[in-house]
Amino acid sequence: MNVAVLMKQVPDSDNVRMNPETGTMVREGTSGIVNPLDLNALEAAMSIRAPGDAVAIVSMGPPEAEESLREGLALGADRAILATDKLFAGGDSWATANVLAAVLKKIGLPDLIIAGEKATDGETGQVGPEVAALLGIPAATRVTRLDALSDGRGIEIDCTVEDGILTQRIELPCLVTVVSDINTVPLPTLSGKKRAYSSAVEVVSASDLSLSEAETGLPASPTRVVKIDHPKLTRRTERFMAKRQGELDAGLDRIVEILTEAAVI
Amino acid sequence: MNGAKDESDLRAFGDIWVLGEAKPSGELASTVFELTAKARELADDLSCTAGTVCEVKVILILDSAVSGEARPLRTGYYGADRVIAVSGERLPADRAASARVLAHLAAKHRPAVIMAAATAFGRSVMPYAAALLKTGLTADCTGLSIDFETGLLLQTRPAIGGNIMATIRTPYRTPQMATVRPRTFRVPAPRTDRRAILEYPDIPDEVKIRTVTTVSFKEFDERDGALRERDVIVSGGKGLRRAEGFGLISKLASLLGGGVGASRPVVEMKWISYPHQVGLSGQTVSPKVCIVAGISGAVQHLAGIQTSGRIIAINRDPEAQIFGVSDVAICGDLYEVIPLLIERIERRRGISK
Repeated sequence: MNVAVLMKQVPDSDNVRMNPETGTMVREGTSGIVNPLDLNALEAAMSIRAPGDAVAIVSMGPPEAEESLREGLALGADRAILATDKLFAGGDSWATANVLAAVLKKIGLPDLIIAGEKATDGETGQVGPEVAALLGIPAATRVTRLDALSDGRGIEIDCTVEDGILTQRIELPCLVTVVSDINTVPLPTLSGKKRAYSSAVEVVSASDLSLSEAETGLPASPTRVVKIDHPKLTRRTERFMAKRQGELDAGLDRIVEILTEAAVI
Repeated sequence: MNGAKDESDLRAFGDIWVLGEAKPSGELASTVFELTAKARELADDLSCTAGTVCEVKVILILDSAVSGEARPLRTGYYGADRVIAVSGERLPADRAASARVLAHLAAKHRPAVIMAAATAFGRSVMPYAAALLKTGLTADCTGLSIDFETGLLLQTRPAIGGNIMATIRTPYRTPQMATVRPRTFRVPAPRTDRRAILEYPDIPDEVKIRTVTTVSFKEFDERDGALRERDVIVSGGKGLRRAEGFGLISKLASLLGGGVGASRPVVEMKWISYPHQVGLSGQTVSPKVCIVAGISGAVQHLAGIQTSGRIIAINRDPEAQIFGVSDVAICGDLYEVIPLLIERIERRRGISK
C-alpha cells in the first residue's frame, strides 16, 4: 500500500515567540526539529509498506521546514512535499488541514495516511482527523499498533482509549494518528543521509494547489486568538527539609492532613 | 484582530450542545455531567445576551450492541433540556461515522455551540465533524464563558507547554466547537426535580455507514490507565533511579486508592508503560491530590498536573523546579520519605477503624 506521512516542523526548545497582534506563533527564522511523534509515524509507514510501495512525506510550513523533511528522507521516505507560501501563515488546524488535504489530492490519494497524534507546539491533535474528514476517509487516533490485513484492503490497529485498548479493523483508504508506544524510531543510516542530501524536496505553493488567499492561513481560520495571559503556576509552598530535626515529621503530618481533607484516607 | 467585519456581525445565538459518550460498560461517562452543568451556565448567560431562550441539548451516540444502561435522562438533573440519542451497532467506535451523525444533526438544527470532553472519542469525533461543518474547534479548553457583548463563546486553553493561556473565539462561523479537558468543571449536586425530554431522530442510513469494525476491547487492569478518574495520583520520575522504584510508588498509590503516574523520561526508558505518562505528551490530570516523587518539574510535566487540587513534591534536590509549584515540598530521599509516609497513613487508618 502507498503511504503518506504528515509531518510538522516544531520549535526545538521552549524558546517560542508569539505574534502579539495575531496571537499566533512566529515560525520564520526559528530553529526547528521534526515533531517527535511524526518520526514514529514515518517509522510506522516504513514498517507497514510492502516492497515497491511508496512512502511520501507531506508537510506545511516555512521554507526552513525543508531541513526536517530531509531528515524524513534520510529515514527512508521516497519523496517529500512541502507546501509553503506566505499565504499559509497563521493558519489554525482547519486551515492547515485544508492545505494538507489539497496536497494529498494533488499527489493522488494514498491508501494509508499516518500522522503523529499531536505536535509539541500547537498540541491540538486535530489536524489528522480534519484531513481525514476533508478527504472523506475514516480516521483512528492514538494508535499503538498497526498491521496490514492479508487481503490488502484494510488495516488492524490497537488504539488507546480512556479505559483500555481498542482493537479495530479499518477499510482503506484511511488515516491514523500514532503515539510513541507504536515503535522505536531508528537513527538514519549513512546511506540514507547521503540519499537525503542528493534528493530534492518538492515545494508547492498556494497557486500550485489552486487555493486562494481566502482559503488558507489566518483569513481562512475559523478560530481567532483574542487574548494571551501568562498564568502563574507558582503556589505558596510549605517546605520541609528531611535532614533537619523534626521537619520530616512535620511534613509527613501535613501530607496526612491534606489527604484527610481530600477524604482519601 | 477581527478583520474589517463589524462586531455586530459576530452574534451567534442558539442552543448549546454537549456531545456525550458512554463508557464501555454502557453507563454515561462522568464528563457528560461536567459538561452538561457547564452548558447550563453558558445557555443561561447566552439567553440573557440573546433575549431568547437557548436550550441545552445532550447528543448521545450510543452502541446498540452494549446492553448496559446509559440512562440519558439523568443529564436532566444537571440542566439538559433535551437529549438527542442516536444508536447503532458499534457506532461510537467508528469515529468518522459518529462525526457524520453529529455534523448531520448540527447542519439541521444549527446550534450556537458544541462541546465535548477531550477524550479519545471527543478528540477524534469533534475535529472530524468540525471539518465537515467547515467551522472552528478549540482543543483541550480549561475555561469557557460567554462574551456578554457578542454572545460568542470565549474558549481558554493552555498553549506553548502551559506557559501561556490563550483565549480563542470562533467569530464568523457556527457552530463554535470546543473540546474540554475532563475534570475541568465540577459536577454539581443533581437536581432530581429537573426533567429532560428524550428524542430519537431519524438519521439517513448513508450517514451511519461504518467502515470500522471493533475486534476486541481490553480493559486496563487496576495498575494501568484511567488516571484521569483518580482522586489521587502518585507519580515517579528519574529520581527513582531504577524501574523497580515504581513498586514503592504503586504501593503508596494503591494505599490511597489512586493511580500511578510517570514523567516522560522514565516512560521513554520503558520503566513503565505509556498510559501512565503525565504531561504534555501524555495525560493531563487534575486529581484532588497529586504526589510527585523524583520528578524535577520540567514544564512538560507541570503542564499536565497544574490544575491538581494539591501538589505534594518529594525530591532530593532543594533547587528542583517542582518545589515552586507545589503546596508541600519535602526535600529528602523518596526511599526514606515514602516508606515513612506509608507507615503513617496505615497507622492513621488503624486508629480510625
